[in-house]
Amino acid sequence: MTRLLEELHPEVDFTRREHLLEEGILDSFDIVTLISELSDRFQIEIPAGKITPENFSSARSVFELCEKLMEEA
Amino acid sequence: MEIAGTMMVLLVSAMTVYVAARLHDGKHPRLGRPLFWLVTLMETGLFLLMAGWHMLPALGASYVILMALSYFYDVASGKYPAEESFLKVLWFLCYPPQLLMGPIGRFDRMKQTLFSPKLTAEGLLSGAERLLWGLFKKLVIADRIAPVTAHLAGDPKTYDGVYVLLLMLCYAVQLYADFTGGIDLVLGISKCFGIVLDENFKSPYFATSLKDYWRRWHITMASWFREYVFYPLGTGRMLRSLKKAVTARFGVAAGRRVPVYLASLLVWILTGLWHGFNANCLLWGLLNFLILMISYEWENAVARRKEKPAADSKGIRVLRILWTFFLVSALRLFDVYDTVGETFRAFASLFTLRHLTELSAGLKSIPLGIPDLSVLLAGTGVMILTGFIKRKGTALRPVIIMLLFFSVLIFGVYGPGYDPAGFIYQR
Repeated sequence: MTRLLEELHPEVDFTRREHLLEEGILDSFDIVTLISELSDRFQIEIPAGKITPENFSSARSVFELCEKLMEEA
Repeated sequence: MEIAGTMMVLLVSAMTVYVAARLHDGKHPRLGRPLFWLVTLMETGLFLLMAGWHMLPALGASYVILMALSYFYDVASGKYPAEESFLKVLWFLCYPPQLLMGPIGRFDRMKQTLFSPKLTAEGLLSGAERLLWGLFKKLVIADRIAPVTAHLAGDPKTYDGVYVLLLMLCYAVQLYADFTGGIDLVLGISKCFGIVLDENFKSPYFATSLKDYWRRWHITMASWFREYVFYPLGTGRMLRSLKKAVTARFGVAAGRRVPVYLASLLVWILTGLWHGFNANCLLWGLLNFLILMISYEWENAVARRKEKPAADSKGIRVLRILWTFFLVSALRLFDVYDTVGETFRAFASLFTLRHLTELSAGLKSIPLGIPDLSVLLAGTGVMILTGFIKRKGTALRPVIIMLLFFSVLIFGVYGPGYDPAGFIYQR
């Protein structure tokens, strides 16, 4: 997960950073690119309604979201 | 006639989303997709009807239709259950102050405040102050500078070269004062009654890039298109399939761009046409798209250098702000000239610096006397200052309210000899 985020923003340390969406570290272009990659890699659907500051606050929270969606699928 | 027609359209719009949301919430899974398309096409049809009748400005139909769609889409995605009361949905859509020019409210956020407003003395006073500040910006500044921009834009052959820069500056002031003033009026009146609406602006002329600007200007519109068009389309199956095909043919880097580029393109086509169903507005939208994509590629290239960028020095920051101001003002030329051709010619002539030497003589032909110019400069100065100074406490509020009240009364542009000017974003 961290590696994928680092591909988008090599200058950011995603092992530590939080509030990624709220602080504008990830913008809407990043979110779309990220979700597109995650959907392909994990074979999940991430509905637009799940794009919230809480779900995208850190690498961990994104990972947890994907895990949850994989379980539901 | 226009009002009656618009009210019919608003009623139909409200009924459509109310019924569709109730049906959807009735948990009929098979109805989900058909309802989505029915509502989207119906509301789009109503928008086109209003555009065709040139009635979009009447009673803020453009805003209502976006709000109606957001209500249905939220219910359809399970964000909240459908509202049982039709009158509440109707009131949400047709709440009168919002009909002027937004903000584009969301049902879940407005529900509490709209149906259970909390009237307080503090709310009344802060609402009154905001309302008067809005009137000040609109009547003292925007409507005073409007004849100047109309004069400069009305004769592009005479007022080309450096006059285009002057026009850009004047319109930047006019549009800011008009639109933010109108929103202050809406939010101020609402606050007086204990109703808190979403903010629509956040010091937009301090933006350091076009991307930053669209997080500060017309915030509720930008977030609407982001949430209901950009995200669903950008993350949806259709563009992901296309991405796979492009990746297979052209590689990962190309494939990754597909959702961002195509979803952004649709957003800006729709944003342009929503502002005005004409070539000028469409091209304005497309140019926004082009500039944003160029910035996107530039930022990606910089990020790939893997160096953490040093924070901008104050000087660089100021330059970025000035550049962004120039950029958005230039894009807005599509708003002031009648045709696309005129707009491009005017912008191109700017770089010839024609009329620079005779500017001071030429300015005398502009319909703005010294007293009006003084009021304009003072008013604009006050407006700029409020962008830098953040007031602490409310001790000065009664004084400010009095000053604003008398400023609007004495310096407001209205009365015999003046045409009442509609709000720009009501168009």
